[in-house]
Amino acid sequence: MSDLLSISPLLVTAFTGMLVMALDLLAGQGRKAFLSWVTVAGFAVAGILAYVLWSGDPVVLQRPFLANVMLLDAHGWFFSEVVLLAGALAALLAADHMPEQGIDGGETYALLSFSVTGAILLMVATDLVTLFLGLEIMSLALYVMAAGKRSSPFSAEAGIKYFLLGGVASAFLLMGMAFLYGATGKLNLVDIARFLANHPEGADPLLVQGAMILLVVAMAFKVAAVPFHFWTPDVYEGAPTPVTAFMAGAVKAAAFAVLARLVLTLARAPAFQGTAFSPADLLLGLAVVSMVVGNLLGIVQTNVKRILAYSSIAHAGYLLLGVWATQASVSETGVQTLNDSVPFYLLAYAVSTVGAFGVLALLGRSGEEDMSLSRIAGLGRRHPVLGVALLVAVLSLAGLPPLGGFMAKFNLFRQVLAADPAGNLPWVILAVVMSVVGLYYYLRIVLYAFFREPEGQPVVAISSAAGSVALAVTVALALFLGIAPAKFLDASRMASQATVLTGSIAASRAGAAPVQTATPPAAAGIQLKPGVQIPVRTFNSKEGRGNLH
Amino acid sequence: MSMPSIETLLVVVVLAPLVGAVLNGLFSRFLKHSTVSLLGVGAPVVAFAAALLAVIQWLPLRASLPDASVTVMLFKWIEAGPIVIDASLYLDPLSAVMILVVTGIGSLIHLYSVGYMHDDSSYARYFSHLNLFTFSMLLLVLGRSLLLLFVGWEGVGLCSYLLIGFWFTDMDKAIAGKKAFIVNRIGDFGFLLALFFLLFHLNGTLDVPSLRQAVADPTSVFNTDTAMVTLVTLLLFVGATGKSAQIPLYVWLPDAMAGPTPVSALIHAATMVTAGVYMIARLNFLFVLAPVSMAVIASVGAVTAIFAASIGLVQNDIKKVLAYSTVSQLGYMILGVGVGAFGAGVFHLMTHAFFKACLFLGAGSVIHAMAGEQDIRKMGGLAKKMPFTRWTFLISTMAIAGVPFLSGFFSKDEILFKTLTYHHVSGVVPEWLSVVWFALALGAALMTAMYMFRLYFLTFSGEQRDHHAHPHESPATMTIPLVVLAIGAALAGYLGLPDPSLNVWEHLLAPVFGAAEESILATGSHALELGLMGVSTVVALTGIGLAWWLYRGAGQQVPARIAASMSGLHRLLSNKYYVDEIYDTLVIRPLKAYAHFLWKWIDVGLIDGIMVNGPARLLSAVGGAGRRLATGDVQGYAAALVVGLAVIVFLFL
Repeated sequence: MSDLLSISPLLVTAFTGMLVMALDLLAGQGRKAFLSWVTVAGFAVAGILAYVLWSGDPVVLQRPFLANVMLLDAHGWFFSEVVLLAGALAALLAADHMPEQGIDGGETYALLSFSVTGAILLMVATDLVTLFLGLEIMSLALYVMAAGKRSSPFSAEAGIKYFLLGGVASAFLLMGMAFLYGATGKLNLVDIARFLANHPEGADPLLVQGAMILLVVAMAFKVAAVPFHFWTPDVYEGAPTPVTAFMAGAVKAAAFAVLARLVLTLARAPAFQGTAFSPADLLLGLAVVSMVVGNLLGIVQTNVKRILAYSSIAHAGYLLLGVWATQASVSETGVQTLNDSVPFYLLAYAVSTVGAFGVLALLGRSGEEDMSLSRIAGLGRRHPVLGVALLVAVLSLAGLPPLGGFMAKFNLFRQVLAADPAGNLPWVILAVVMSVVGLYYYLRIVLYAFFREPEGQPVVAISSAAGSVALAVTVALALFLGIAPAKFLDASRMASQATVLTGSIAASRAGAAPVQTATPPAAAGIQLKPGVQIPVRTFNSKEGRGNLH
Repeated sequence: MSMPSIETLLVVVVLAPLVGAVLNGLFSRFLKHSTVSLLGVGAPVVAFAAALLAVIQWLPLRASLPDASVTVMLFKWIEAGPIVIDASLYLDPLSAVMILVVTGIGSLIHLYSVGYMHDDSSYARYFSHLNLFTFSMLLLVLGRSLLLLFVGWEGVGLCSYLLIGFWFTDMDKAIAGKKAFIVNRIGDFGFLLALFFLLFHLNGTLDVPSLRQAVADPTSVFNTDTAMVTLVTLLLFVGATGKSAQIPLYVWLPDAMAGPTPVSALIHAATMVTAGVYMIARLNFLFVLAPVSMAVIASVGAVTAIFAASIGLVQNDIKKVLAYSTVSQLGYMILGVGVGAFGAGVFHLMTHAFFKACLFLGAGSVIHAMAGEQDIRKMGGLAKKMPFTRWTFLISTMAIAGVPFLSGFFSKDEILFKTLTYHHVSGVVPEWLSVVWFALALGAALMTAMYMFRLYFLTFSGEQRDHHAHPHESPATMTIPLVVLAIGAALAGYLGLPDPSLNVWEHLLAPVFGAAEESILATGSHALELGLMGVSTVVALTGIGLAWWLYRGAGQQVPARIAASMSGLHRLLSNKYYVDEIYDTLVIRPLKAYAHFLWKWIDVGLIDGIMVNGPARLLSAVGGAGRRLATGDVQGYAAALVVGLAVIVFLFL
């Protein structure tokens, strides 16, 4: 029973989806908007449960079949809240957007609930199969949602593209997992890490390294990192706008949570030591090209949704930089932890991007879907409230104070620098320069919205109480995260410290062999087994590569 | 009805003009002409009444108050680490005098404006600005912290700009406003630097009483770091040269006459221009620690006094004569505070406020009567047609010329006396220097008597030389202020009689200046002071006599002959020593050329052209090329995925 209680947030979201499906059948045509509130209520309950149950010490699950596949800790908690928040906001935005766009079905809300369930499962999974399950539950629901506007060829195209390319990425992921299983014979991440540590000669380095590349590539696809980003602008543009908001806000957070956990947990394996391949270099490379390409291509876009898509790619770049530069401070286990500010960054990004897409979701009557820059011209004068919401969201994305985006970027870059002040400086400078480049297209949105007169028929806003609530929340949070971020930064630190799976946490699993958790000398190394001292390599230090110290 | 407390009254003093400014400034379109007048004049009158009540309550109390002062804490303004700055008002003998002068004379000038500006289309804007000025000036004199003083300082500068350029559709007037503002900014910059030095290099407070306490401690940094104190006081003085129109920054004041005449009277004669003198007097305890700064101040004051007076001799515009006269008289005040005669400097400030305001308003009355004519060569014979204006103008002219027993006589005399004796007590100033200052000041006094009576004779005596206008006496709203001010001009001097037992003024201000003046003015005999009175009386009468002879009597051909025989000197004076031209050549043109260079080459060329647009063009080009990759073709995308993977494998394995 207590296990069921422990995983109740997952159950609540899943149940919400089923409830919505049932209610959808009962509700009459054109009266589906209340389903959005049902979804929000379900997510709120799940969010509260997650806070109560998961935000403290890692939860001890009794049944081995549960304990072996998931870990309920601050990592899962923080990212679940981000996903639930983005999901709830997307549901609110959908309430009036969907009918206006001729999408009457309540299935959007059910799919949204399942997608959220999948995302949460993905983030708490410690087992490769569970992880894959979570990813597919999340993604399959998304493919359908992207194609949700059946009358629009763009939407169908978006769904199909996302589905086909997502399938390729899933194949990569599965292949990577197969390699890992082949090399170690284990599915649990901690077991794999331990096996790799204890039997350096037992696992074929080529298999392990190939697995790492495949996993990173698959997740890079999900987070929309260059060069696996091609789907992003087309899908973001074609999908119904609330769905895009969810994709950008929630899916990115979930994918990053998993990427960080996977890579940082496995990267300590000896298979990567003494070889030319370094997972850190791979992340850095992806980060750099994502920042550069995302921002440069953002400049030449003329459609606001596409601009935000490239913005999403650029933000993936900054975040990859954050994941790459692991924390210099070391937890008691001696393991390098995820950069403190990555979870906070994802929260701030989710709030801002959902806010920006949210404004777009509330624009355009009956089926209009053209969101080119010239159409939002004069928005600030005709709909000042929407204009201000867009302004706040876009400036937060651009990283201007006093908004959450600024705090996030500032802290992230600061932490990256702190990890290695001299070595990381060039990359931080590049990131800052690219942020300045990005300012161009963010300010272009502001320019059009506030200082240009519309040409031809200006876009008209739909009236939406639910949507207004959602936008009010994004604006308030964007400001709050920028002005009083302390609590959120603390939570972010907790989450980041739980991200990397270590032996000591694995020890708490019921049924697992007790693992020595005696505190080793500070930063000396990880102890996975009595007497076996695994040297710790600085994850992102070039000097560290190939040296056991 | 019990009387409101001093604190409440002080808040009323400051806020009443602000309320007037806001109401007239924002709601003028809903207000009738008469309501605008009522608000505009009512605001300073209320302030004056409140100030009077506050001072009346404060006078008997002051002996029991610390430094004879009352502080009204309004709110905590700035709190940043160790720096705490309150917005609080400070009533002490000095600010008590100042608020009475500002609100009293201000009220009269507001009243006068009702008549003078009656037909102006921007009547409400005028009163709004004038009230805002009064508010700023009161903030300046009542601010307890130097930063609050600075807010008022900037506020009066702004209002001065707004009012000089009041008729901004006339390009020349708009330019005059701009000139005043820019020249003042130079001074303000010095002031601001001084505040920074005070805050960060000395003891970290801008609160005047705290500063005075810190200075009183002989071990404090003020008494050990004389170089820094000298720097700070000199920078403060730079601020004073801007606001109080001293060499080298006096050039804006003559041009400021472009504003309406009551503005000239209030801002550019009676109140704002004395802010520099007030500030030095306020910080007297700091200035006496820097004898070098004091010597600089006194020298600048003395030179300005005679320099401006000499220009005044040949000006033909009635307001320009008064403008140079104001610069010259401000030089006197600066000389006074420069030789440590703070009480005398402020005393002259007060008497000058009366007679110069009266002169300007009289000039305004004349201009009004002459239908806008300002050239004194075209006037004459106005005495009979404008009796009120004539008599009040004559009294004030006598007062400024230093005719015995009128106010200017006493105040000017005290400055002369203290200038001559300054070397006794200052270790820095040699005797010859104080004699030079004295000589310059005496020369300026002679010229003042001459040009003022030249002005008077040309305007009021003889026959009207130009018959286009039909002069008539001005309405009562204009003549009443003239009469009141003339009474003040005649009698204000009796507050500071030279006999120590009768000198109410010195006694009143002793809590502010006592310590500083005692440290300086230890000597000087009473007999010497009375002797000097005789000398300055002779000088004044000589100047008046010369003016009579040259412009009324037998010597009327002489000025033309002098002008012809010394044409070089005459041209030099007429062109105001070519100072504007020199500034134009030495400062403005090089600056403009430099700015042009920065604009055309650095900004447009280098920054915009290469550094901003260059990367932007490059990035757009790259982005444009990259865009072609996004074809929308899903097979292509999938292929890209695989190629990406292949590249990574190739690179990393």
